[in-house]
Amino acid sequence: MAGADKQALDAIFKDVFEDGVSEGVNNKNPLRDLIKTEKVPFRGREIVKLAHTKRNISPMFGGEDSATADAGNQGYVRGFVDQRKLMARLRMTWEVMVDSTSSEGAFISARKSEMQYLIDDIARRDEYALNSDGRGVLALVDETPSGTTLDIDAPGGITNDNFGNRFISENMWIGAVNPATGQLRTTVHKVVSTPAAGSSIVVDSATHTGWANNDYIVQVASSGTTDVLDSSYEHAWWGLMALVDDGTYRANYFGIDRASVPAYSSYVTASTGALSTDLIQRVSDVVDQKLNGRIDMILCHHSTRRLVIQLTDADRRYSGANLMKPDPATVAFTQGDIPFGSVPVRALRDFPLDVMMFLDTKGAGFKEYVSESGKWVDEDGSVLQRVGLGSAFRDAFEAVYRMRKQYFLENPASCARLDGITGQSLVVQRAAGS
Amino acid sequence: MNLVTVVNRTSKPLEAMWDGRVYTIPVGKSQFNERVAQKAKEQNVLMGSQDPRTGDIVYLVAIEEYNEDTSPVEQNPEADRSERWNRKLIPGGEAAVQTVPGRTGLFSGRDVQSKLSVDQAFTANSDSAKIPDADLG
Repeated sequence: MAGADKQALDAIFKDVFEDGVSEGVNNKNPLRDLIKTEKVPFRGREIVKLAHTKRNISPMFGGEDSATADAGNQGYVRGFVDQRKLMARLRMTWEVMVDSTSSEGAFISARKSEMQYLIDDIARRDEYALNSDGRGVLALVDETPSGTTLDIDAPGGITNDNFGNRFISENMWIGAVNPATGQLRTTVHKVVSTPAAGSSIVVDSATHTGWANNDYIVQVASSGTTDVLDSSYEHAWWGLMALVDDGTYRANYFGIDRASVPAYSSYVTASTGALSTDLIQRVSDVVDQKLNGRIDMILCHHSTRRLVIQLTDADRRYSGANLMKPDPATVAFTQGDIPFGSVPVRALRDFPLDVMMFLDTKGAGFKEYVSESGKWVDEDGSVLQRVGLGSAFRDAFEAVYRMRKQYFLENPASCARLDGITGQSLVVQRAAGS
Repeated sequence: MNLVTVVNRTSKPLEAMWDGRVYTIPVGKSQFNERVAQKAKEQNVLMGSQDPRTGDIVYLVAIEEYNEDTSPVEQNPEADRSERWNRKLIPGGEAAVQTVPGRTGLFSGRDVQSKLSVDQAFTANSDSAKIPDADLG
């Protein structure tokens, strides 16, 4: 049929652009918001902390004219708190900045986009670190690597066979660190994709010189990285898996041997298996005896929280009006905190999959030693730096953002952990945009 | 730190995590740092073997220098659904814990991985790929 239709007159039509940008990146960082720390300025070489850890054992009952026990003494240990740094960088050409300065030319200013969202991306990395042990490990190599699809497990370096790629993003440069030496293996890779099944990543080449089963997979700066210094290895601030631990992930607690000083060793049960109410009660009883701990927050992944919900499934009854309109769900459906003994059980997106952590947030003494809480690098007076000089000059600008701090827990023994919880139907979704 | 003789009592290699590092415990005897050996024990228990009244538990790993039982033992085949405790030792306690996998109605990632090949290219079934005729009433 001849005549005018939209196809024939396509050239006359305009695209209509709606203002604003839809947010497709999950920028919620629940653990960071949850942990309230006492912020302490960092100065000098390191913070030296003194802890009273042993009592004088001489008090002894005795009879008339009997000998008195040999003199004892108080015991002290020193801890040394360091600083860890997180940096992020962006680069923009002059053209992308000037051509995006008005809403007529762009949905959003490139400068605003790159600088504002970068801070969100840093917060995301902060969240990952808080959920791990500070080694900067993204996962472990699973089995001997071959081909471009690498099997990986232990997301964040925390034991688990599932969803090893949950902290790895496409286009990230990664390397492997030999756990025995702390040295970087020869080959570094660019991540091509992160398959949804979670147990592998696809990398840019099938050559994995030196890579071995259980190597640490860490982020590296670029394709040319050869030195472990230029990797994330041992550069992340310590997260909860290091602070609330018994040596499984951090045997040395800021210079203190955890095995020798019980106050710095949390109660951790490995291979917990199925969850039960009396098992959880036992944890509370242990921390009370050990360091007078009072559990007031329980953390776990959503998959493990469903096990807590199941604990009461069989006991739920309906009556009266509820009988006509029974609600099979709990407050967890709206992501509220299901209680256990009035203590909220909080589900966290990035938390280890089979771990339940018991925190005494008031008595444990969460501290954050901070030398820089977050700022664009501008010591020379300018946030945006020209790129290159002479023949290397480009009409582009770089900006760098830095944070530098370390987390510390005064009383790890007032907190506890159950590892190796089984029975979950693991459902793990990568944070959108990761 | 002392080296001790660790005995993996099972027929399969076991793993232990200590100070953020994974150690593989080979079948039979091997030498490890004493703390790694202790952790290997704690992390490799015979599920369902712990006496709730005394705390006694059967480990899959033994330390020879401690004169521990090194006789062969295998993991409980129901380990994934067991707890550490043996509730049969508590009168009336046997039925206290029941784990029902998949009760949420959601797929387990672990099950999906074990049952589906994720590496094979997707091939559409010719029957299901047909588009049904529109119902024009």
